[in-house]
Amino acid sequence: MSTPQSLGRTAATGRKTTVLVVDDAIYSRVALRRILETEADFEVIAEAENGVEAVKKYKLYRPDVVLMDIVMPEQDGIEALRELVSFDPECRVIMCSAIGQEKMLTTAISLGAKDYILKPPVADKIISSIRMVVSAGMD
Amino acid sequence: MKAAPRRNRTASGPTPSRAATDAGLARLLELAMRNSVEKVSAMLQIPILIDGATVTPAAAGLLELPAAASCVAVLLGIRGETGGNLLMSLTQAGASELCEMAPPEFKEFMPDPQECLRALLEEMANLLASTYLDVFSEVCSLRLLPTPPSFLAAPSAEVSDAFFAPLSGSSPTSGARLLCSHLVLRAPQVRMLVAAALPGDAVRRISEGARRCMPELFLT
Repeated sequence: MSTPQSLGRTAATGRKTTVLVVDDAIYSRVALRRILETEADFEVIAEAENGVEAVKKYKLYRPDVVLMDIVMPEQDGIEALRELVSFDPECRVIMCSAIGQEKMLTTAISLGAKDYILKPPVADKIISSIRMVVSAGMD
Repeated sequence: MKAAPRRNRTASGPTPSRAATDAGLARLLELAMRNSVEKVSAMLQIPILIDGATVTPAAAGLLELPAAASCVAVLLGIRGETGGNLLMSLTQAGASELCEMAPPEFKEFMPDPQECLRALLEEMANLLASTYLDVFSEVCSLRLLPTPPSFLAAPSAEVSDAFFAPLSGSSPTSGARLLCSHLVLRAPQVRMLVAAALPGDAVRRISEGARRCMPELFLT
C-alpha cells in the first residue's frame, strides 16, 4: 500500500489511480477490491466501514476517487459526501449503493457525487465510471 | 347505511375494505419481491423462485420461522416516512449450504465459516431490503430506507421478538400487518423467509400511496 506522502492527485503521470472503498459490508468491500485489482492502473489505497472513517481516511490518503456506499452505521454516505465536498470541493465521489430511488440519486448528484452505481457491482460499470470521473477531472 | 365521512375517503374513492387493502398489498409485495430476487440472483449467480406472497394481521404465530431451536436471521429496520422491520431468515443448515456458494476468493479472505456466513447474509439482506423498499417508495411516493443489517443466530422466539418490536403496544385493531414471502434458492435448494412487520400507520400510508399511483393493484 502506498504511503500518504507518496500520493499526488493526477492520473496523467502514469501512476496508479488510487481508490478509497467505503462500505460497512465486508462482502462488498472484497467484491469491489477484486474488481479494481483486475486493472493494473488502479490501486485500493484504503477501506472504510462508515462515513466518519471515510472522511478521516480521505484526509489522510487523498485518494483520486472514493467509492461510497449510502446505508452505513454511525454516518451514512450522504452525510460523508457532504463533509468531503465541504473539505475538498474537487473530490471525486462515486456512490455505490443498493438503493435505486430517484430522490436519492438526485440528492447525491446535487451534493457533488460524480456518478451513482447500483449494487450488485458490475466490473465494467465500476471501472468505466472511475475512468470517466478521473478523465473528467483532468479536463 | 350512512356514507363514510369525508376524512375517510382517499383521492381514489371510498376507503377500501381491509380485505381489498390486503389483496393490493400482496400484489405490491409480489412486485417488490420480483425486483429484489432479480438483484440477489445476480449477486449469487443462481436462480431464485418466489413461493407465495401473503399479507395477514401482524400476529407472532403467523411468522413461519424455522422450527429449529436456532435459526439464522438478518434484521433491518425501515426508516424514513414510516417505520417497521424487515427480516430474512433460514435454517442454520440452509445458511451453511448457502455459504458454500460464496465466491472462492471471498472464502479465502474470510476463512472462518461463521464470519463468512454473516457477511454473505448481511449483504444479501441489504440488497434485498434496499430493492424491496425502492419498489414501495416508488409506487407509494414515500421515502423508505433500510437501516444497516443486524445478524442474529438465536432461538426462533428471540428472533420473533426482535422482529415484532416496532409493533409492541399496538392493539390488534391497529391495522398492523405481516407481509411474508418465501424464496427458494436453487442448487443447492435453500428455502428462505422474507418478512416485513408494518405498524398500522405504515400500512395506511403505503396502501393510500399505492392506491393513488397504481390503483390497478387494488382491483378485485
